[in-house]
Amino acid sequence: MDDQIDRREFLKLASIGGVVFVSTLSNQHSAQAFSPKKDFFFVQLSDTHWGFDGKKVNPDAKGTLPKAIKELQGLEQKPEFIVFTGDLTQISDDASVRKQRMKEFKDIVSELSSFKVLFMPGEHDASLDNGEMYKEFFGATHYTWDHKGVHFIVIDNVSDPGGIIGKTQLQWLEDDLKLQKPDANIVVFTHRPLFDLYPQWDWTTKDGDAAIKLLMPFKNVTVFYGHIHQEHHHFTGHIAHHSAKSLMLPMPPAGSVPKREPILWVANEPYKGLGFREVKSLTKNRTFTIEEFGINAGTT
Amino acid sequence: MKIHKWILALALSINAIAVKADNVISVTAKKYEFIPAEITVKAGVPVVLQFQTADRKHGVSIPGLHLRTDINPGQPAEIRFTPDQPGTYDFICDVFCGSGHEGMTGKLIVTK
Repeated sequence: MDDQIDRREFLKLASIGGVVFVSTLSNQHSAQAFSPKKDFFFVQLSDTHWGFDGKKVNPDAKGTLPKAIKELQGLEQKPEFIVFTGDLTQISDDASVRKQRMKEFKDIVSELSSFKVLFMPGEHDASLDNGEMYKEFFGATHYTWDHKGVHFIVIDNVSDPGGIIGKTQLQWLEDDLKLQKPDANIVVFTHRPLFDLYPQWDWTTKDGDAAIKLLMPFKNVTVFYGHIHQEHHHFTGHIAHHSAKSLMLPMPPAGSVPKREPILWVANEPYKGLGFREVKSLTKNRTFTIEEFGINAGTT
Repeated sequence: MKIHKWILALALSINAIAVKADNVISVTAKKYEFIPAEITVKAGVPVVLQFQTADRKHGVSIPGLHLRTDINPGQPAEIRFTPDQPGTYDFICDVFCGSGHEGMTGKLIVTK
């Protein structure tokens, strides 16, 4: 696989700027038929920040996540799983408030009980107590599973408040990857970007380069993450990194404004910048197709 | 003669300490601010940023200069460097510390 070809193709597709974005891990286009036996799709939701209160940013803070859930329930085709890539809840310095928010969040997403739902923490969920409360509600903070030829890895880069993966987890990652073939189809979910997207706003993982180094020998690796509350597409070598929108507050592009502050709500464009995505895995050709969805203001 | 050399050496040492002390800037980190939040230093002049925390663990990172340190309770931390490029460099707390963490920022201004 030629990395340069991939990057050019990636930029060409990214420049479309529309609803459908295609990230291809090979130099073949993704316009192939969907084969239900081998291919599948999943939904990524991120940064729901349940408990956030800021009317100028999102006057429908209590309604946005339920609206997204309604839309998922109405999907014609059922995703094989739904993954929340962290910051499920908004931080509070009061542990009892954090606990209440986690409980409420869990109750709300229980509406998705007919789907397989997976979680991982963001720093708002886990960084104040090294993930202890998160684990009580949602289980492990890092894990792997296999599905239809894809090896999925969840990396926790938030339970350490320093925003690192840490030596123990990196060793776990190394041990896991030893079991994979060089051409394995690997998808990583994580909260923070593994690369230095914009350290001035803490959009980085301090030891993310160590994880990338471990992943680099594998030909087919794609990373889906959250944290930055907007779509962003980047390559480190041949590894593609795709960030997702938030379901609570949109953030501006890195460094585009002096301070890292949420984008204010626009009354005539409600829910602008918020949404979720579907990712189609066309396993045979090592291809992923990303389709972005906004929030439908009419959903009740 | 020996005594004169010793006095001269002592004078130079005292002078060196004085110069050093002039370039030590003390910064306190606490939820959720750095005090001072704006620090001005001169390009080409060595400086020591000396950090202490008033409450819990924090961190300070100046990404534009590739400098950082943890700031642990009871353990003052230092960043020693000589800025060479004039400009304004943002610094942030990079150890998640609570609800106001994301606003815990400051500016390092390097003048000519």
